[in-house]
Amino acid sequence: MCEIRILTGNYAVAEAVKQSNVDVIAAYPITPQTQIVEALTSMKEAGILKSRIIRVESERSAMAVCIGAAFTGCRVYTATSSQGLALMHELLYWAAASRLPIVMTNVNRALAPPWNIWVEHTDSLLERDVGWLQIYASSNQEVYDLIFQCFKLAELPTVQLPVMLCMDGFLISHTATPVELIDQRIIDEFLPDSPYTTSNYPFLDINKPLTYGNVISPVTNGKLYFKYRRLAHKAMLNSLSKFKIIQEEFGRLVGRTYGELLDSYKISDADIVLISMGTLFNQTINTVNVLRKEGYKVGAIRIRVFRPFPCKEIQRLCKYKQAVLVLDRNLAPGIGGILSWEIKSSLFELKTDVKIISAVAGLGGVEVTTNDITNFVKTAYNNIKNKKCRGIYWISP
Amino acid sequence: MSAQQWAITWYGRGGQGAVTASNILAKAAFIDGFRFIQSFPFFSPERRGAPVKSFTRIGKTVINDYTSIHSSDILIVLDLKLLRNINLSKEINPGGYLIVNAADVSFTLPSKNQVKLYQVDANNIALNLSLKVAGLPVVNICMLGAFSKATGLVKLETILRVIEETWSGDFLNKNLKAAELAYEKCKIL
Repeated sequence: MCEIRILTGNYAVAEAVKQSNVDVIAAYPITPQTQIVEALTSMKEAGILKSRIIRVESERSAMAVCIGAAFTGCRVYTATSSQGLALMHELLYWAAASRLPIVMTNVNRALAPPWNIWVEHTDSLLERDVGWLQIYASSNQEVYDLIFQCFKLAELPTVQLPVMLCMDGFLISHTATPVELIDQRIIDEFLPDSPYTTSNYPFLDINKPLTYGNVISPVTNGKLYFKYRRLAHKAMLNSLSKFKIIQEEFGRLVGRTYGELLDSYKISDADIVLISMGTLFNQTINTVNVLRKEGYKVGAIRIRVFRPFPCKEIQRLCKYKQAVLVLDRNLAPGIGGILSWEIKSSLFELKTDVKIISAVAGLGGVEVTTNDITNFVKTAYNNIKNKKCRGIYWISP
Repeated sequence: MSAQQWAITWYGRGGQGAVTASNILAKAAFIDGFRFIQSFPFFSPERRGAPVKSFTRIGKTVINDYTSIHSSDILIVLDLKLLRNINLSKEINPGGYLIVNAADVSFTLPSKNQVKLYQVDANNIALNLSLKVAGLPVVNICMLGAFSKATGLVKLETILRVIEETWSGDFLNKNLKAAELAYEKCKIL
């Protein structure tokens, strides 16, 4: 039997990184990600982590080191949060457009001002269009399992893109729960130690210097820039089916699955579907249980893969529903919840009558209780019945 | 409260070890058959001496709650002075447990809740064992012993086993003794 330990999300991540035979780690500590860096450096000190840890003076430098290391074809990992992720922004785009399979954990935290270290998804959602895959977890076990899957997915020749694994600050990062560790032999089988191969570019070799990312003028050879961008888009779309395959393989070896691109709860006969990401989903399960007892036909969906966005799956599951209620733990001022806009765009082409209702909840780590969500669903449901339209719902204290 | 899930809140002061106690309880409860566990502090910057809270959920069924605990089945108070800030009729579920670190208890419980009140003089036990950090008695392990006696949810042997995995040397021996003594001396009022 595999070992089960009581671990916080951060320590679960560090264990998985240790088992993934990462070559280079460069990360700058920031709350609530700090424990990941702490754990990895103490593993290094104890001699049980083989990776080379390169110390840096900022998150921007951390990503720069990751880019340089990944260009040599080695396996690279970093982790950050909030302000740190924002500071990386320019290089995040660079890493993705260079097609470097870096894996990063982003521990979701609100952005300042005012200073706030608690959970919110706006930090990673701000980076939704830089070309990184984005996967959102909702438990410590899932975070642990996903690290291996992320490396495998990132390094596939048909994908070859960086992956951002997002988890809720404190709610996952600092909450200790049982985590079943996987035997190293199974990991080695699932995620071979050898570096990835690429047909997209030659690896960096200091003995054979090359220039990477040189100027492409729109006048002389502008088509090339276009081509690279389209290829990146194509690779992104490829990753959808590849991720499913990887999860099947993982499921066979380890025996755990989490739904493919989406996770769902009691949706087959539901009229109303609640959509959310991260641990908010677990809370919506409680709401579904409460409301089902009162006769409401409610179900819940969790978006696991946010980039590329699983439009087809959303369409398939929501097509014949009466209403889709989206809980956003993020805010794009002037638009509203980011996830709800993605859902609206996905469902638009179906031309169905499904009502899409958006609620912004839990900004800056504010607790969202089962009661809060239950009340929101009831209010929204009554408004739909009475044909009352209203804008965004705010689930706030 | 159900027979399947228990919500436990630890009230203490920074330095008393409420967070560590929560983590040890989580490990012990898991060994004793609660397959679903959460242990987490009240998420804020903590300082020595300042009031802190820590939470443990233990369950035989899946725990979907990701909020802090607002009404507990078991409430453990490491410093009696903190009781002033606790609304007992709101924060303990009917039929729940209140376990306090006190030499003697001179307050009355809101009776309608049928709360079971347990008392242990953990300060005394810790000081006698000179179980101190920075001059202050560390009472967390005593309270774990008391928890085991009062609720019976986790065996004392299991708590001792987890303590053995956590520390070593003199500090370990003192803590083992503390848990045993508290188990022995914890009594219902």
